[in-house]
Amino acid sequence: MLIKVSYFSKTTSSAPLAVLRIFFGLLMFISIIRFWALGWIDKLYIQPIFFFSYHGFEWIKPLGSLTYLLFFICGISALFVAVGLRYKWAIITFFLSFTYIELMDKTTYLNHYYFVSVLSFLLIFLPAGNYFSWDTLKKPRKLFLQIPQWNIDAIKLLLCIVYLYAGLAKLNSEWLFQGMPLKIWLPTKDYLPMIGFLFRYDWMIYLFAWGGALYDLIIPFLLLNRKTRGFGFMMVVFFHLLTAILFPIGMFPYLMIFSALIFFNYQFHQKIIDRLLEILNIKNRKIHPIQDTSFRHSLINTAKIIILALFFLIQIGLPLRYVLYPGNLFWTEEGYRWSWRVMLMEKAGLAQFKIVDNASGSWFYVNNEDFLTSFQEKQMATQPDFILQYAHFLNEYFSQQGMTDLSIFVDCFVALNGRKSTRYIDPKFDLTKGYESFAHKSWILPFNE
Amino acid sequence: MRSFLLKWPLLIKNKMKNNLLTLCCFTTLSISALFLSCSEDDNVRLDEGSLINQNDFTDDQIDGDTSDSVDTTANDAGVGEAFTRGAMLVNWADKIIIPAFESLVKNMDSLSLAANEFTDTPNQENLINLKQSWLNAYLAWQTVDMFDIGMAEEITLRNFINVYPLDAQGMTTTLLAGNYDLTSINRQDEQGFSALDYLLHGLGNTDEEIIAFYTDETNGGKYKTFLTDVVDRMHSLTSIVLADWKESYRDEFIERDGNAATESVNSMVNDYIYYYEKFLRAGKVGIPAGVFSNSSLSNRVEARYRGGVSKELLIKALNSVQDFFNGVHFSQEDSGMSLKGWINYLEASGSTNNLDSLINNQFELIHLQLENLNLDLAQQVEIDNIKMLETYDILQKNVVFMKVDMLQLLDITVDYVDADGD
Repeated sequence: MLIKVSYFSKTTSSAPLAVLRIFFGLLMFISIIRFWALGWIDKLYIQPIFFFSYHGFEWIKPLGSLTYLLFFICGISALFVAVGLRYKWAIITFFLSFTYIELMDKTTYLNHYYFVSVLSFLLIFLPAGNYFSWDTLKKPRKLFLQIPQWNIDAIKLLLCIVYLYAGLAKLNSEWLFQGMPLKIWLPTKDYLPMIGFLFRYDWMIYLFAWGGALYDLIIPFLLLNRKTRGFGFMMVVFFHLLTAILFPIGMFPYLMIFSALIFFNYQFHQKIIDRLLEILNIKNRKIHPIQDTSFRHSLINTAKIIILALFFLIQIGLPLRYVLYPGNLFWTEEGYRWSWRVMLMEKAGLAQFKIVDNASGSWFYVNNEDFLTSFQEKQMATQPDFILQYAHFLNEYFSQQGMTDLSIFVDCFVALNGRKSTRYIDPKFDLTKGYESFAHKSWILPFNE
Repeated sequence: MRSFLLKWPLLIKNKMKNNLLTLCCFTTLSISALFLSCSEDDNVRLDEGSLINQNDFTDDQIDGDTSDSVDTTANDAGVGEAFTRGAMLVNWADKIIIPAFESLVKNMDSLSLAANEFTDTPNQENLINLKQSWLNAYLAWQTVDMFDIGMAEEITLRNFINVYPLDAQGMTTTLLAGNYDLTSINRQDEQGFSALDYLLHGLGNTDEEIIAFYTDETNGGKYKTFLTDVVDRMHSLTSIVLADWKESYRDEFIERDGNAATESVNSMVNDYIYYYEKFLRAGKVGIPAGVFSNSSLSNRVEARYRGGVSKELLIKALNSVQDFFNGVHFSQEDSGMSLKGWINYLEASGSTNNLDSLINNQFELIHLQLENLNLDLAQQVEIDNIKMLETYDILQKNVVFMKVDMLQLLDITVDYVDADGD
């Protein structure tokens, strides 16, 4: 207990957190601009007529043309975070707007977006705006040169959780012994200059598979250890740039590279700040007050510690929830999301919905193109919760057309990691009788090796 | 909607924008980070050193990569010879697509000639001759319909050549009013093969009744003009596509031999499967059988006015699809690299589901099923629609094999979606 208390009263320089805040804010600002410039707001959130909601968040929907305003707010708040202007409000706004965007349609779910939400949630509770920020420039009393050590460690802990769970998830026979799904993905990259030819060799696939798993598992330790940190960061840069070249994963590699800087000591970060001060030509006097203002201990601080302890408990627990579900995780995807399972599977499917009018006995198939974008259809056909939600949407849609007593069946085939496609959903199960919950969906057909 | 060629410059632009943006962001950020950290005074000891090491490493990496790439040529030959996307594209273009379009245009020449003869002298002999030319051209069309790529996609060839059902009433109004614009999107269901189908078979019950429309004193001229205009338009559109393939698009097509979403292989395979799913499975069988509606729609078959040829057209289309899969040349004399060969190549080094046999066996099952069907699919729908529904289900199975299993194996994304992945 004594050790614990002394740990929480330990302080350190606030420079690393300030640097993280700047890079995070800038990268997020760029992400939003990129998303906008690529026309994805329109394509993903305006054009579709139907959106897949997360269970419990059905009330979160795109806002029509106001969605642009939402992205605008999100982008501006990211910029405010970077500059450190009204930091508390900026980071809260960013977290809320970004998370809202992600909850609008689970078609676009990415672990990367989840990471951004989680990190920005964490940043709400950390005094990242209290050094080298607009706020402290205007109100020097807000300046803290020293902050609790645990503030920095919380970020490190989050990154370690991400890497370790991503690494643990790769420890399965498909990834390690069958080289799947890299065996599907990498050979088609053989047109890349310089490195392309390598992907025609089998051993290269396994090198990538084992190397990737090993990387995820050891990188936290390399970064934590002072002696291996330089090498570790080199690995981080190398690994993430490689993935950026090989796969269409947007801004994520850059986010991970810059986040990993948090592991470096405060002198390193101080140097970044000093140089920034020089470039921006800000007078040192204002940013470096004569007296050292340390972060004060308070009840609020204790409350933060408790909230974040809960937060980390959830972070550690959530990826393990899959053990509560029967069946193959990759097949059912029950407990798959929010668990840092990145690039683990290649899954493709095709779902043909049959609408039976129980009043007349007549039936017809649905042309999915009438209701879904090709992106949505692709995601829907391999994930049971999507299939169920879509069936309920169809039920509602055709009920409004006057067919009130409907049964909806799906003939769905899914291929996982290069296996031959097999039937995915019980074709005799009336989906209108199924309801979304966190319980196991018994109408998913068992996975056959 | 499927106008990929119209879209692809945009896609490339997007891609470039995408890459440029990320690259710019990253370089500015990383340069500034490195610049900031590597300052001239050395009072930061440990981490500073490691960063300098990192710079050295990056240089080494680049050197290492270049020296490696010198060796590649030697290694290259052994591994890559069995299958190349480039060879497949050449086979597709030179042995299948261009000959198919050549044959279509040749048939269009004859159709044009027969139409001229008929409008010059509207008699039974010329009508019968014209009908035969129409059927020949219609069959030839089935061999190119799936190649909705390049100029065909740009001018939306299919939408002007083979939209059915025909809006017969609208067409008659247009025809009698004169002064029409066949290039208009609103006229797409008033021209093409189905318009000719109506003009040659649907105007009356006997040849005499039909000929009477063309010899009619008040409106005969209008019918003749419209007939000629429709044929001319089909002739010129198909000729434009053929000329484009020969003059420029062939080279562009085979040059884009990567596996990225905007490259030829990817878009051709997507177009191919889309054609099989939407136009062959749904258009020729599913929609008439009523699988997407509450009741069957026998009047939605291809060539409904002629009657009795819809199965022949379906078989021709099916054979063309199967031949493309197997790389069989248009001449039928030989075959070359195609999807089957690619599947064999990939399965040789990985999992073997014998996917090519699965797909070919399914094609055989479809052929067997078609033997049970009436020559006129409209009659089949009306007499015994169960057989049509069965046919649809058997056709559907190959959608699964191609769209799910084959695309996964070939690592081709369905209907390329430009979004980030995990």
